[in-house]
Amino acid sequence: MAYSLWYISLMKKQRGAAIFLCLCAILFLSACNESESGETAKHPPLSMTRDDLLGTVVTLTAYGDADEAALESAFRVIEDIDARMSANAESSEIFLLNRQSDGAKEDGFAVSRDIYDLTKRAAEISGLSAGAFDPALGGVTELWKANGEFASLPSEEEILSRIDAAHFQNILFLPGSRIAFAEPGVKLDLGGIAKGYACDKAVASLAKDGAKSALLDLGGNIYALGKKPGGSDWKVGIAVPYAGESGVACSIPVTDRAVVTSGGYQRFFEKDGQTYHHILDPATGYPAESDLLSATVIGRSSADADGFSTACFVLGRENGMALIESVPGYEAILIAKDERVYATPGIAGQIEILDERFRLEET
Amino acid sequence: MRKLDAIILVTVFAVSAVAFLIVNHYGGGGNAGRYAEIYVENKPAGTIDLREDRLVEVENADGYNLLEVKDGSIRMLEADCLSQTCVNTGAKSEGGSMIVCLPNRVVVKIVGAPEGVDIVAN
Repeated sequence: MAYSLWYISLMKKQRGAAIFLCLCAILFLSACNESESGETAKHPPLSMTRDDLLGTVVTLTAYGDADEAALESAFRVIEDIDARMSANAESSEIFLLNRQSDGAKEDGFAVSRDIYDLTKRAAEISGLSAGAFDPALGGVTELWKANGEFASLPSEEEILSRIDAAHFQNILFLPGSRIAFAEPGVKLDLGGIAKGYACDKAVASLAKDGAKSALLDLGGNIYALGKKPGGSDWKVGIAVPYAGESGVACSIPVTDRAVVTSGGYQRFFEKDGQTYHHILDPATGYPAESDLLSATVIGRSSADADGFSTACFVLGRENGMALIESVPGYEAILIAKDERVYATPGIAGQIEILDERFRLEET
Repeated sequence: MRKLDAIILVTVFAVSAVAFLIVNHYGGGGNAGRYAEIYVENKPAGTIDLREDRLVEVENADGYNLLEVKDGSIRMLEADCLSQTCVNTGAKSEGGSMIVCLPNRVVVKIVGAPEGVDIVAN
């Protein structure tokens, strides 16, 4: 109001200056407005972190519309899934199922409905990815573990003795939510998809309890629920895919989407000068060697994005890209060893490079 | 009158420009990357100012960890865990980044989000 009165009182000559002044005022006011609509003004974000679930660190953050009880309920959902699906915990359903698998029964073993459904979905993703992701690899993955951590180098003989049975087609799905194995020695490992599944269930729990704006981080598996408090998309960064670095290679705007990255830089150990990372190629039983540093998959379901990102990393750029292009509603960002960034057409235009070492490849 | 107008113009412009710069600089989570929060067994165990170089010992039933704060960043200098994943993580200074020693139940989290994004997929 005051500005317009001044405007009228000014001589023509000064109008240019007055317009400039108004622009400055608008700029200033809009800057104020932005900080008010930002995450801290109206509702301070509510955040909880736990380090005792899914073998990783889980942080749930709600931006208004959800209270502490909502976050606690979501954590209980994750707790329940972790307790039943962990390959390490001796009381988990997967552990019990695997222990019995050596004396394979024809009528199989009864499992919870969600384990049955998730294992079935994992086997479907195996089929779609020509076995690049495989939930039947448990017999091999356990050889690489010591005290539940990826830290032990098995002998070639050990791997060869188990690799043949470790095939998703050896998992039989029987009526009554029963799982049987076609061969002795088949073991389930839902590690490549359980984190994503737990994320999906936590999202559903938060949404049920009224959360309209939240960020979930399950050991680096991200889910952006709703929009930011100001109404814009969330900006999710993709980590620089080198061990020991904490930067962001590029970012994408998302709303109601899971963003899952698989990379050899995340977990690894060194032995006799050789580095072994944790993503095993089901074809060899050894860490996957492709032309990629990391593979990120974006989509509605974190479980699917989890399985597909592992498959992409194992398949490499060309076949990984072809796989995701064949799945409706899913997008991929693949960072190759030559630091080129490849993306599916649906998302390529929205990628912002934040680390100049990486270059977006035009498709 | 003209002179007064000019003075008002210049003054208001100067004030709004300064205010704009201040808001721009401190508006988006001003403390990002300046403090690290330490959690032991899921419970907050303290906040460390990364501008003061020092060593911080964390001792609990699960084990021993030694953190080093230096030149605005923090790293796990020593840990008595088997995997040494936390030591291998290296120095961190960006908002949102973490150093985790799962066997000893120690989590170090730098306050804020990394520049330009809300969260990082990893």
